Amino acid sequence: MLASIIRRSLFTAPQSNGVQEGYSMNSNSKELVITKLEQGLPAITPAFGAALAEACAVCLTDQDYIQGVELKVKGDFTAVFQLYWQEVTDQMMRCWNDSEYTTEQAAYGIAFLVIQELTDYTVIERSRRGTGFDYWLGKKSENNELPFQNAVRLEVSGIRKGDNSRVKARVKQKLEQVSPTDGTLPAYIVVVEFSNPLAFIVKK
Amino acid sequence: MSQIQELHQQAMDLAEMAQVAKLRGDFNSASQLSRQAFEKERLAAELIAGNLEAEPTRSVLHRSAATLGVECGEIHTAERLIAIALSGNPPTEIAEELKDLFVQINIDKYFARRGIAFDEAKLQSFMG
Repeated sequence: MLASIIRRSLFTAPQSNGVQEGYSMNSNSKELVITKLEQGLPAITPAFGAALAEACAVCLTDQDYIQGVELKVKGDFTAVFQLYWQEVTDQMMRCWNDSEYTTEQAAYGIAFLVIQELTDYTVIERSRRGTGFDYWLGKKSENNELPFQNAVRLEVSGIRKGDNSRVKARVKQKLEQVSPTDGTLPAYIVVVEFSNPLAFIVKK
Repeated sequence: MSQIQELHQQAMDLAEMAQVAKLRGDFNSASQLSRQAFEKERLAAELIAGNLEAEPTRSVLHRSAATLGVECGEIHTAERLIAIALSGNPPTEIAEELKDLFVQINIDKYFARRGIAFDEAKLQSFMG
């Protein structure tokens, strides 16, 4: 219930106390309202965004967090976000019973929001590679005549519960996956860990 | 919006509609939509095939058209699209995906020519 109240307040007009919408009183951390995924992105339909938000909510609730838990961003970016998510129902728990799949989808949700906040990029297309979950990022303000010009690849991975060494190993694995050599296509690698909320971002 | 951009967008919309039709169990519609998506993406790829400098657009569109072609059973056309893409200047990452797709299309035939039955499920479990 708390989440829905927070969501309502953040989606309405700026706060009367003068606090900028989407930002907390603490200047060192911003609020990340996960339900904003329901609004969609250029390559994320509102329905799919809502599903990703549900996956995030399940992963965070599973860790017994309270609203406002801090997500640390490390790697090529340093930031702290306070996370807010929707209430998790029994139906959602049954729907998202596959832990691995849920973690993966939740990691996408977190990655999309964090990339939006920290870079000029947004998700412009899902790769047609087939089985992979590989996205293209494009500049928010750019409208190229040709698709994929100046686009950047996004590789995301999620870990429900793992220590730093596991996060680093996953980052290394993704770096190898993205570029055997120093390729010509830049890429962001985002590994999201949920037990000590962390988004580790590397730009390759 | 350029003609290439427009065709690609239409192809992606059709491919998404095909996926939805498949989920609904309407395989006839899914097949028709997949083919339409493939034709649009193939046209987009053809429009840029002569521009070897337009990377990664050139190779990505060819890879995408080839993937849609495989879904439609247009294996020969898919192989040709992969070959055209590789004959240009694809970025390393896309080149590798193109090669992977080529192997994926041909691996069972490769084993069949050697009298070995290829088991996709076993390969997947091995890789997983």
